[in-house]
Amino acid sequence: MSISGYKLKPRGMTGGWKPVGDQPVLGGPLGTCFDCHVMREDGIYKIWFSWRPARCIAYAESPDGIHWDNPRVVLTAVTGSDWEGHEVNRPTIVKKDGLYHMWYTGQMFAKETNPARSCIGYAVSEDGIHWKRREKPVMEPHLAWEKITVMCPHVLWEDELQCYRMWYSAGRMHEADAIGIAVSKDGITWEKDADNPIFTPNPEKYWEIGKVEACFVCPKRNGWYHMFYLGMDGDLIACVGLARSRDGKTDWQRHPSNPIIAGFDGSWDWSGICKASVLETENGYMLWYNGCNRRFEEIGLAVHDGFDLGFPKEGEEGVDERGDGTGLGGVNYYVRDCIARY
Amino acid sequence: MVYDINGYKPIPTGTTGGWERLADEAPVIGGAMGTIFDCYVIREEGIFKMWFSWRPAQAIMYTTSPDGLTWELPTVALLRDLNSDWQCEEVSRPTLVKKDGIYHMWYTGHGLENGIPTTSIGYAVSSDGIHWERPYPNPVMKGEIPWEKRMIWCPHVIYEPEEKVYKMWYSGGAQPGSIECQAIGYATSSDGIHWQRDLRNPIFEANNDCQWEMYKVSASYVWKRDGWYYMTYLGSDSDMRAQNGLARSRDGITNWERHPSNPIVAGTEGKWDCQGICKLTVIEVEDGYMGWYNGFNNTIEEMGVVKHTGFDLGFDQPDERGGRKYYPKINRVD
Repeated sequence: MSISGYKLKPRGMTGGWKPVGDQPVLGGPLGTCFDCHVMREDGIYKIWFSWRPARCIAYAESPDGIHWDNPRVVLTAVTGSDWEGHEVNRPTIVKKDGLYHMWYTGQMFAKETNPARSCIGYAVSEDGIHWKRREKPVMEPHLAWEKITVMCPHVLWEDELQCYRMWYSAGRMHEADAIGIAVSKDGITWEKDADNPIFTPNPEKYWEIGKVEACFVCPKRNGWYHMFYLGMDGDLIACVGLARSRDGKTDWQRHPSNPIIAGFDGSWDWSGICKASVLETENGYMLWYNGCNRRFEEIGLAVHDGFDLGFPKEGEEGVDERGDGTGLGGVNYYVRDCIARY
Repeated sequence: MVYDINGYKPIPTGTTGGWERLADEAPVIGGAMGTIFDCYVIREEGIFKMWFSWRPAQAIMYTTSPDGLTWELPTVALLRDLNSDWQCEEVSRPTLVKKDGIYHMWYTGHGLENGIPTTSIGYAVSSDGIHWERPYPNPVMKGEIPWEKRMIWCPHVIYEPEEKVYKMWYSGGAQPGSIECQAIGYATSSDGIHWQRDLRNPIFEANNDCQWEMYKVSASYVWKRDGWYYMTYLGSDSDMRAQNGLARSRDGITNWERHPSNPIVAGTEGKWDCQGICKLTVIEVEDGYMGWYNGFNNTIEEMGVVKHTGFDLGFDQPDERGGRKYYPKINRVD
């Protein structure tokens, strides 16, 4: 099927993903709650999330991942800092050797005295609530493709490699353009991969023709790394897609029914879907994401029964549940900065 | 001594009356957290507990401290209600009474009613001070008397066990777009929910003879000791600059006597609170008083601490600032 004169905007979920309820699980009177990281320990769900109006990282607990206790502030911006003076957000957490390790984004917005810039910071904690952080960032933008931003860290401890591996996003600040990787023995000194960026927008698919960023990578399972990532279309509308790779770096195979999570028309998340945080449970996956509407970003929950995420056999293309979405349309010049020329 | 200064307007700075700023170089809460304002503090089992208004989150937050100076990062205590007309925009300015093991909170709800900004007083209860229930969907007080206009805020409530009555001092008379309320009113209640206004309201008004508080007074904090009701309050000067003063009354309603050295806490030159002082919350400690106030600078409001050694607040002392004879006109900014 070929449609002339339309660009195709995906709606709803595919690949076996289903929303839980018809309301966000965190947001509302809190205002915009976005990019989060969720863990489960001793039967308690723990969420660290970015709280936009407060420009900080907050923490809450839940018995079911749906009903959350009053959040508390756990990391704030630092007055006078030249890299995290205005906002901290987008946490990723690794628990290792009894300590919580957090990497997060520290941001400066353009003011009279400083240009806009995002860096990645690092903090450690014994309880996940009281954090001790490093004064300096552990990663800064310094390569051409990274422009002014490194952000959205996602970190795994890789037992096989005996190192931490970070997937991060870089480029512009609103939003980042592509995904890179880096490795570190201690979580502090990071070596960026020479082949970065390792994941870039797909010019063949309208929904991710603009940007890709803000990924969440599941620990390797059955020989695959699964990566949930945020794609942006030519109008910078966001959806979440899924891809897999044998080594977490090369030969990414995109899911045939991408994006797997798109906004539902008429629902609270109609305007777009941002970063996913995924948790493997006894019988499948839980996925928290920030959905947008005109008012806020809020955090919603989706679930997937079973562990078969719906990729075709290796080497096959698979069938797109949405039908042939080969997109028309192009990237509309980014109105927020006039540097953009795709 | 009375200064008659021709061609200058005297703006009070610094503290008087034995009050000493403990947070001189930096506020105890603020900085990158943005505007922290009107708070309420209690001490239980040696722990200082604070509920404060947090402008960025439009919420009331809760935090604890071992010494009143070093505070934990806060937890959300009360959020606005997006489905309400009277508290959909923000909740702020808490006051608490602990009675029969339950925390009772009165607070300010900011809303939009028929497109017009309003502020009203709401009520909530909690067993731990963190998780709050709002048993009544409506405000317990709304601005409805002419002098209150549509906006009342800054409730301060105490419970008098002998009289079995709750007493509230509140501020009224702000208007949409206005920065502060105009005057202080008084109301009583047997249950904390149904309030009876005093017919003499407003019971405390701006003092036209005094430049620092000639425009408005609001944001009172009241406590009882040795047969007096003491009240700290925010005074707005002819330029809408805020400082904090102290007054006392035998019945908490009439014959208020202002402190001779008012304002007792004014902005300190060159410091983080240089632009003025808003609400001052005071508690008794072993050797005197501790107070927390929101001071402001050119950017935000932040939280500072003052200490007063001893319980004699100095009402019988001469004016430390020297008498000031100056009768400016109010420069209306709202």
